[in-house]
Amino acid sequence: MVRISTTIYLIDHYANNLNSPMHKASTLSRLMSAIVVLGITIFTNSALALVAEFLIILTFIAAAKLPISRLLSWALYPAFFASLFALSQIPYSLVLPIITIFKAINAALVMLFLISTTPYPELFSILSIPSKTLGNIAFLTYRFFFLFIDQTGERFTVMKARGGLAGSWKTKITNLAHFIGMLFITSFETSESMYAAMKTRGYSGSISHHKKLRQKFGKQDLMPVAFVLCILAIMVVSTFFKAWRVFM
Amino acid sequence: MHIHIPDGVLPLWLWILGYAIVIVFLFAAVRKVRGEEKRGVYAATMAAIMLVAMSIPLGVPYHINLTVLTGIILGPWWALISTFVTNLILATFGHGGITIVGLNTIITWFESLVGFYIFKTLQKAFARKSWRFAMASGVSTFTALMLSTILVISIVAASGINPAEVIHHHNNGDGETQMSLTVFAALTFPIALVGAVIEAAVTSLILVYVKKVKPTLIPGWYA
Repeated sequence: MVRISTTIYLIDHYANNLNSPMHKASTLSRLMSAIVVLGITIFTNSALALVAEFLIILTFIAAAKLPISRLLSWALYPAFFASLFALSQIPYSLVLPIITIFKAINAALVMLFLISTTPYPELFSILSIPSKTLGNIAFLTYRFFFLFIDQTGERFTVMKARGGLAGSWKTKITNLAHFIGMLFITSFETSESMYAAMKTRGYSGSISHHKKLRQKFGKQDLMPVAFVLCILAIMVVSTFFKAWRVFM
Repeated sequence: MHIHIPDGVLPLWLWILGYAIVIVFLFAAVRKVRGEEKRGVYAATMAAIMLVAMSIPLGVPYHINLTVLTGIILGPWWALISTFVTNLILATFGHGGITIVGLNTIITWFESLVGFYIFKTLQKAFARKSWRFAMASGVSTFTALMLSTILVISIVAASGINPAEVIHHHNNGDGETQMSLTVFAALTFPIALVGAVIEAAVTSLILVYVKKVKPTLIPGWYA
C-alpha cells in the first residue's frame, strides 16, 4: 500500500520549493511536454526505445533536481501491477513483458515528473478552463486533504495516548467507531470554516487561471522542449533501426 | 473498488470510451449543480476524505473508498464530480494510470449511484425502525460494492488484457479467455467480499454517528 499522504506531501514540497529550469517553465509547456511523452509511451511497442526513453526521463528528472530514487520508488507501484500482466505474458513472448513494465514505469515517471515540477493549484487552474466548478472542487480537495491528514494523525495519537486502543476488543471497536464518526464530522466543520475564511480573504468560489498558465512561450521553456525532442529523437532512431533491419 | 491498471496496458478504444462517457456526464453534472456553492464545499470535503481513507492500510489488498457514503451524502451529480477529482489526483502520482481515470470514475460513480438509490429506498422502507440507518447504509454499501466488482470484472473482460486473447486475437471463443476470467474472478471476489463487509461496517458507523451528532449533513431527500 502506497503511503498516499506522505507521497502528496513530498510532491507538494518538490513542486513548490525546488528551483530548476523545469520548475521555471510555463505550466502549459510542461503540461504539453508531459502529454506528448505520455502519448509516445502508450503507443510505443519497441522494448529498446522504451528502455532508452526511461533513461532519458531519469536524466531530465535529475536535471530538475528531483530525487531519482524516490520518484522511481513511487513509479514501482504501477510497475507492480504491470508485472502481474507481464508475468502472464512470459509464455508467449519475452519482449512483451519488458514492454508492459517499461510502459507503466515510464508513464508513471512522466506524471510524477509533471506534478513534482508543477504545483497542484497550477494544474487545477487548467481544469477550470472547461468548468470553474471542477477547478474549484479540485483546488478545495487539495487544500482540505492536507488539513484532514494532519487532523487524522494528531487525533489518532491523542486517542492512543489516552488509552483509546487499550482494553477489550469491544472497547477498542467502540472507541474506534466514535473516532471515525467524530473525525468525519470534524472534517466537514473544518472545511466549512476554512471555506468561510477563504471567502473573507477574497476567494470568489473559483480559482483564477494561474499566472504561469498565461505565461507566453519563451526561453524558460527550453527544458520541456528539449525533453520532448529527446524522446522524439529516440522514436525516430527506433523507427529507422526497425526499417534498416527489414531491408538488411 | 477501482482498477490499478497502469498506462499502456488497456486498449485505446476502451479508455477513450471511458473518458468520453465521463466527460458527457461531467458536463451534465456541472450544469445540474450550478449555484449549489455549499454542496460544492461538501463535494471537495468528501473527495479529500476519500483520499485520506485510501491512505489507511488495512493489512489486506484492499483499501476503503467511501464512494457509497459519498453518494449518500452528496447525491448522484456531486458524487460524480467528487469521484472524478479523487481519481484524477490519485492518477497523478501513479495510483492507477492516467488512462484509467475515466473507467475508474465510472466504477466509483456506479458505486455511489447504486448505493444512493438502494439507501434511499431501504431507509424509506424501514421508516419506523430505529435501526433503519444502520441497516440501509450497510446493505446499500455491501450491494453497491459487490455489483461494482462485477463491473470491474466485465471491464477487464472487455479490455482483453489477458495475453491469450492479445496473442490469439483471431481465435475468438477458444476458451482461453473464459478460463483466465474465471481465475481472475475467483481471486477478486473473496477480496471484494472482505472489503465490502469492512466498508459496509465503516459506512454504517459513520452514518449512524452523523445522524446522532450532526443530522444536517444528511440531505433532505431521505426525509
